[in-house]
Amino acid sequence: MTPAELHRAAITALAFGDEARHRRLTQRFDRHDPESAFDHLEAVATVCLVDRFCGPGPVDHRVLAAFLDELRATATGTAPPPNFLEVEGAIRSVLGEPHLSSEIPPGRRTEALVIVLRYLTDTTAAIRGDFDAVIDHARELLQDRLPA
Amino acid sequence: MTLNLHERKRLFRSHAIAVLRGDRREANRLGQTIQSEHHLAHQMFLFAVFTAAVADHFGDDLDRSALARLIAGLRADRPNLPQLKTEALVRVLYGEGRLYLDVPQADHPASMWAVLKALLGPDRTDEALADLFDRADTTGRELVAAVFESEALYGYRDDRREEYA
Repeated sequence: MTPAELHRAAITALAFGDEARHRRLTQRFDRHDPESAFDHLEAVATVCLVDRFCGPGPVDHRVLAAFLDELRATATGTAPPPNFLEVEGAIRSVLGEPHLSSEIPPGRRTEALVIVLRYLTDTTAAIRGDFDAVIDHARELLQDRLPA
Repeated sequence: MTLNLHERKRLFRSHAIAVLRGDRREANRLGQTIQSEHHLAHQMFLFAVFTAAVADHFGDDLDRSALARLIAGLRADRPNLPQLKTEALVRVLYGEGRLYLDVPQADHPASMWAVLKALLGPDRTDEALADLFDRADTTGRELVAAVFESEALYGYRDDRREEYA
């Protein structure tokens, strides 16, 4: 697999909740790869969130509160429960409030975005049905940020 | 130094006045005299003053765009302040009590003092601040009573209090 194919397979396994496959794939990441797994996660989650909220700008707080209630409802039984203020911050930071990301420790931001990505993959037929298209779109976002 | 109730109250209020007026030297000096046995009481004092001042400013219904303006102003003045947590502590008072547990206790004082300074400014008279602290005392008493008299554990502003009376 090329590095790009590896990232594609890994983020797909992550989104669909195949943790064993995700772990196997991430072990093969090249430490010198300029593309990071986190950047992929953030870009893919951004594409899914923009799709869900119909646009890239700041989201109305009532709409966001309703979405967070949906997420809370799925988190029953997990221990310890996620910090939903951090989940809210991770969502808002990719939807026009990037300054909020500095307040959330990197590992917790990853956890928050994984929760969001898994939920949206699980509940959105368009995402589940053509995840490759989601990744294509995300990679376009990434290309704008990567060094040429 | 053992403080009686009145001495402690006076110390908390003097410290708060120094913080609000931006008198750092005095705030630090008084802050150092608030010993660990009083930290819980001081935290409750601060929460009560915060609750009273936020209610004065925003009223019964939180206008989220007004809150966003307050937070944006804080962000410009205090770039290192955790603004998401600060925003959450205000929202806690308006029906989002569960966010209280998402903000580490250690972050509460800095966020609450920053909001208080922004809402009150440095120029309130002694009388105005004494009035605020008196109302905060009442608020604090009501909060504590509401917890232990009701089943609404997170009902800081419990609109249905009569059901538990």
